Amino acid sequence: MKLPRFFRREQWDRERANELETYVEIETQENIARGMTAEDARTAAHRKLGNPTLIREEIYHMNSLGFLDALAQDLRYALRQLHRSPGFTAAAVLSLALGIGANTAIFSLLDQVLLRLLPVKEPRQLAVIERRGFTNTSNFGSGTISYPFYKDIRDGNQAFSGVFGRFLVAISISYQGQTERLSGELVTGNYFDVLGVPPAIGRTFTPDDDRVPGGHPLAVLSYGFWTDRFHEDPAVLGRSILINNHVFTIIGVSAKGFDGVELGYSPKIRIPVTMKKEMTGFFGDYWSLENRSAAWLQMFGRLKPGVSLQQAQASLQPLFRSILDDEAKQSPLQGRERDDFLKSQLVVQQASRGSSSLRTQYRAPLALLMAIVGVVLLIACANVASLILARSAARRREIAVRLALGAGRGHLVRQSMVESLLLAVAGGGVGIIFASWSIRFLLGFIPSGDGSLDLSTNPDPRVLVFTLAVCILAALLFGLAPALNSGRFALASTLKEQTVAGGRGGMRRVLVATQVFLSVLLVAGAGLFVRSLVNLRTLDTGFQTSHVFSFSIDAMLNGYRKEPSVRFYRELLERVRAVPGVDSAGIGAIRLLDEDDWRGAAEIEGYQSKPGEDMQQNFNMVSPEYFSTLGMRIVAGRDFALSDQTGRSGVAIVNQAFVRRYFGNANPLGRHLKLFEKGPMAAPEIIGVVADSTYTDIREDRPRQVFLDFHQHDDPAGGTVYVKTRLEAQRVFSALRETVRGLDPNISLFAMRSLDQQIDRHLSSERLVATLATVFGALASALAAVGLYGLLAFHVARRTREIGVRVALGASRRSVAWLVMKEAVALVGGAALLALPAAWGLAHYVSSQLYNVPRADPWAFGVAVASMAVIAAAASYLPARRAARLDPMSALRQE
Amino acid sequence: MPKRKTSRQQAELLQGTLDLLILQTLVPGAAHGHTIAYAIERRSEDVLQVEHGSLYPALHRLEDRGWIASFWGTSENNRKARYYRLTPKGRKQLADQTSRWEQTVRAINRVLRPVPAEE
Repeated sequence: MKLPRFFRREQWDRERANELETYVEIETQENIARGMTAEDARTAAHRKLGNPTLIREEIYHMNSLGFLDALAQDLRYALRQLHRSPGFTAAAVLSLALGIGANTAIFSLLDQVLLRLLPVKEPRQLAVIERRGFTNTSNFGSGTISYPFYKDIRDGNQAFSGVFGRFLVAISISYQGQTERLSGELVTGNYFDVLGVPPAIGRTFTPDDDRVPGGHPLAVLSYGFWTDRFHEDPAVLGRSILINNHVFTIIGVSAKGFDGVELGYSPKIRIPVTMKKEMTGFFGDYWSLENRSAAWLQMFGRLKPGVSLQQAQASLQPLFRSILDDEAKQSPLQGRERDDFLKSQLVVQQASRGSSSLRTQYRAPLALLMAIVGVVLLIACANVASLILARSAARRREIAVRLALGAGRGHLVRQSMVESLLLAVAGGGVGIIFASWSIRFLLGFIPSGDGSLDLSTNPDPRVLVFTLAVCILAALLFGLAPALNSGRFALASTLKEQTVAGGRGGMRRVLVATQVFLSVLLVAGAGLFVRSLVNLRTLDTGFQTSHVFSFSIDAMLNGYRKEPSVRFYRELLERVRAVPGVDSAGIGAIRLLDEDDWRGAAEIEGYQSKPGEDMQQNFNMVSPEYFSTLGMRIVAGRDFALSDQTGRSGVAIVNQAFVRRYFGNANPLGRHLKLFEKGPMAAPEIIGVVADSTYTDIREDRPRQVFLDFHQHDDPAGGTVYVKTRLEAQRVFSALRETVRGLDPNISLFAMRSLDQQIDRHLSSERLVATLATVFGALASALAAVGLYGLLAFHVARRTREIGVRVALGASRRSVAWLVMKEAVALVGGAALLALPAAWGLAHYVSSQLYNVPRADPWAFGVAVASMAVIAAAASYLPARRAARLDPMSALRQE
Repeated sequence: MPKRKTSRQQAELLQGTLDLLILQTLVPGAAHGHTIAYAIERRSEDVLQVEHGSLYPALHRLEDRGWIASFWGTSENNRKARYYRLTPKGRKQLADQTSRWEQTVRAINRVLRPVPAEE
């Protein structure tokens, strides 16, 4: 059988009919020639040929694929049925579109954040190699290593076919007269080779581009950056650009689709790691390539084929031990510290998806949201199933007739399933459109780096496959029960009776009760998350958040060092304070409630630390007026002053938590700290005590903090300027931009936002969950209300006669309305009563996501119950009114 | 329905042979269904009585297999008729099947013939 012929069977059959007709005519002619009458000749010809219809049928069947045929027939039938009841179809498709769309959107996010592999060669072979435990290094990020250590591992290992290192840096680039601050990545020369990422044009780095410190001013652009800024102009190759005031040559553009090895960070430019000093010189000499104590590189390796992570880790240990021994010998470490150092570990971990802190942060919230949308889908399915049941009740007679005419029950079930699948696929199609709208909205919730996350908003093939699977699952969920139900009733009585069709609707009641049950779970859950968010949002941070705006600035990227840099920041603050409408302004080295932190050890004059005691403090470096701008009270001593200049003896301010811990009731003022800093900052005197405030995490207790004087630093890098003003946001920002431009037009401001926005960013995953849980809770409730309404309306229609009799016999309107309401109250009340303990039980699984909210939060559960009451009232209003206004005469005449 | 059953059985019975006969009929040149039916009837000296209708499904099957090809032409008495001709594949098939058929016939004949005096 040839498939094309299957699709043009009709034409084929017409040709066969012609052919047979030709036979008959030729035979008739010959018969006439043999002397028969015309009539006899024709009859004889037909006899000779046989039954033409049977012959055609036989050929037609040879051209058929049985199941395809039946399927096409069922599809046509289903389309006709759906077309005939547009209201039902629209309601079902819309319900499904909401359910499937929500699943598609969340899955698309979950896939990109949690599941997708890096777009590199054999991503499953990638591993991240981290150093853990006491490493006697200053670390830039956790698990990082020094450059000499990297080279030891790269050259001495047996388990990896290649080992590369990378380090993210903020850089400032100038080209075509523009200056821009963006994210760059320092990479070892084998980075692209080991990852297996080819160039799109030009070339990528080779190990030869990474030999001489300071000797390779080369840059490889990311494909996205090349597209955005250079419009895919191939002439960028060989062009010079200024990066942090150093001239670099663009040698290539990396492959399309490759954004880097860390989710949420897509470096625009990659530079050989040997150019570190040029890129991060302001970190100080300590962070040089050569220093073994400075851990900053993140190390990745590609496992040799057939080598497992465990094998790789095991095979690294002898090499690691010998490096440790060498490092221990070269260091002044002694006693317990030395033991701890030698106990540190080298760990090999799966990195097929790259590394990401975002992933850790969003794993639980996304899994939770996936569960929530799963429930929404269940509710949507229940809705559709209930619609189908209602309709099949109305179609009982039709179905009975078909059964009587000999349709098999199996065939009816199949037909009903085809109809369900069709609905599900239509719902999925619309759902995908909903999803691509809502993904954009969702991405707004996930901040990363200084921008929002580079995730795709268009559902890709993976997501479409998921959606299709969801559609089929949904069709099975909502279609199977009604389908099996469809052939199961007494044939004869249905055919005979003329009454309004329909049973008691027992199955629909179960479905509606299920919807209400699930809605209660979602609404109660949403209540818990909202409560948690409110708790976090209203936490006293210790600083004032309203009317405070901030921007970050990094003059070092534009070549400001030492004296000019010190002068720049003083001048900047002076000018900002002079902006009309600005009350006060101050700068801090650390951006509050963000990823920034600065921790280090301190010795405290007059305090004898116990062995092993945690002397780590949280540091910040702030200018005068910083505290008053943020509304932080100085409880003792004084604020920094402009007179505390560079070169003078150092000063520091500590917070109350610090004083409580180390001084108790004693006076800390006048005592000195001993820090690992240079110059006057090495031993600052405590001149003031400030009230406690949060530092990097709003959820944590307020930590001990030590503030140094920003203006005393002889080489300040950059920081975040906080401005207190009564102006509105737009005016503040443009005024601030103007001010900075007046100082140096090449310096860019970034992370411009109000402190409230900063807190919103900080709480982004909580906001994501609380917002979506609320949206989905409302959606679920609406679907449940629609389901309930349908059921009640059906009941009123079925009981028209009975109600008519009641009214005729003197029942009051109110009691008739109550007849309907009672039904709603019993159903919703029953389902809600069952759901509350279930919600309490399930809350256990999300308690880690909640902040200061009890599992049985009366507020959240109260909202859930109240919203169900609203549903019951809203859904029963119209049916109850209809029942109450029923005219007994027409109702009784109806039959 | 019963009619159809017999035609099926007949078709099964004749399947191999009918195909062979059709192919053989087309060796001299293209022909339409009516001609083919009469040619088979005549050349078998009316022993093989084929219901002419059953020829058409067979033609369809052979065309599906690519052994014959069809085209619309004009019959000897100026009528539009569907003509069938052998394809190279069909020619090869005919040769194969004919020799297999002859082998079978020889074998059956050897069995049926009274034992000769060779031994």
